[in-house]
Amino acid sequence: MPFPATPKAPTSVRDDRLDRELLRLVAAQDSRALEHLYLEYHRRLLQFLSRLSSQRDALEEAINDTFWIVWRKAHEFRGDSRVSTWIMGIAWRCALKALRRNCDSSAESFASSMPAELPVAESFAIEERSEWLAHGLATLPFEQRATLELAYFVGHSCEEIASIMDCPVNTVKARMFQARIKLRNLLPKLGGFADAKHLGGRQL
Amino acid sequence: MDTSSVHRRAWDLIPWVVNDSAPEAERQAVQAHLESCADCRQELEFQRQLQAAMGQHSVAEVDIDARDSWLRLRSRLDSAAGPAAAVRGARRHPRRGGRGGMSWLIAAMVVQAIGLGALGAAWWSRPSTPVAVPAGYAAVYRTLSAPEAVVPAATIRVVFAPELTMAQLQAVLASARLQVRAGPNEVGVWTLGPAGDSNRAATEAALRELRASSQVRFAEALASAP
Repeated sequence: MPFPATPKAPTSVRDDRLDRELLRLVAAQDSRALEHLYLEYHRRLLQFLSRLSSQRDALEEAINDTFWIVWRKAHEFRGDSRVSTWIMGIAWRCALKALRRNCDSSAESFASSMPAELPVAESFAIEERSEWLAHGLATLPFEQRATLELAYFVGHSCEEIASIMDCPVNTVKARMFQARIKLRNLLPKLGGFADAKHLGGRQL
Repeated sequence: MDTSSVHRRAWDLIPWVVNDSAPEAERQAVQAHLESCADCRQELEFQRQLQAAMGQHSVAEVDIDARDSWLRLRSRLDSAAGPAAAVRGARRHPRRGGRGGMSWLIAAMVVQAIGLGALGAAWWSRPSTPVAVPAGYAAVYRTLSAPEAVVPAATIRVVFAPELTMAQLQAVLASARLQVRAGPNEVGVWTLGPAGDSNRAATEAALRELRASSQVRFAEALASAP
C-alpha cells in the first residue's frame, strides 16, 4: 500500500545551501548577510519559541541572543549538521536562559505552570481546533512540547532534534512517545482528530 | 523480530514518516507494516492531522516586528564592535570582489540552486558598476557604491518563492496594487511599479503587503522610489 502524499511541515526546513553561503559570509563579519539570515529565521524562531512562552521580552531576548551568538560563532560552524539545526540548537539554549531570567524560575517550572488537565466541562466547550490544540499542547511537559513542535512545525528529524536539544536520540524518541500517548488520549475527548476507539486498540 | 516488536518499531517511526524525515529504509518498513496493521494506519492518520492542525494553529498573539528587533540587535552589535567596526560590513563587499573567481563560482552555484535574486542584466552591464557582491546576494546586499537598477516608474524589487504559480503571482500583485515593470531576470528578480499613484505611502503599503505574503522571499524599495 503506497503512502499518500505527505505534506511538508508547515514551516519546512530551508534549503541548506543558501544558509551555508550566508553563514560563510557571516563568519567573515558581513552584517548584511547576518541581517538576511535574521529576517529569514525570525518568523520561524518566533513561532517555535512562542509555543514555549508568551513573554514578549523573553522571546525577543532569546531571538537576539541567538543571532548574537551566530554572529560571534559562525566561524566555528563545522558543517556537520544543517545550518538550521545549528541555529535552532542555539535558539533552544537561549530560550531556556531567557525564560529563566525573565521568569526568575526555570523553564521547566514555567511549563509546569500550564494547566495540567482541562476540566472536562470546559474541554467539551472548546470547539475551535486551534484552541483545544493549544490546550492539549499546554498539558505537555516543556521538552515534550518542544519535541513535537520541532518535528511537526519545523520539520526536523529525530537526530536533528537530539542535536538541537542536546540530548540522546533515545531521549527524543521517549519524549515523542510520551507526547503522542498523552495527546491521543486527550484530544479525542476535546472533539479531536479521530475516533478514540481506533487509537487504543493495541497495547504498545 | 516478533510481531509485537515490529509493531512497536513501526509505531515509533510514524512521526518521522509524517514529517518526511525518516530514511527510506525506515519509511519502507513502516509502509510494509501498515498493510497489515489497522492501528498504525489510524495512528499515521492521527499524526498527520495533528501536524496539519499544528500548522494551522497560529501563535500570532506574540507579535514582534522582525525589522525592529533586527535594528536593536544591530545596535547591540555596533556598540560591541565600536564605531570603526560598525561600518566594516558595508565596505566588505568591494574587497571580496577583488579575490577573483571563487566568489563568482559560489555565487553561480547558489543562484542556480536556489534562485535567489541578483541584479538585472542592465545593472551588471553598467561599466562603472564595481564587481563586488556575489551574484546570489546582489539583490539582497546592495553596496553603498552600487547604483540602482532604475526602471521608469519602478519602485520595488522582489524575489518570489520558486514554487509561485501564475495565479498566485497575479493575486500577490493585485493585493499589493503593483504591476510588473521588468523581470524576472535570469536569476528571478522582478522589478515592480505601482498600479495606481506613485507615492511614498503607496510604496510602503505595497512593501508591507509583499512582506506579509508567504510567496515573497525578499522585497525592498528601490532607492529611486518615492
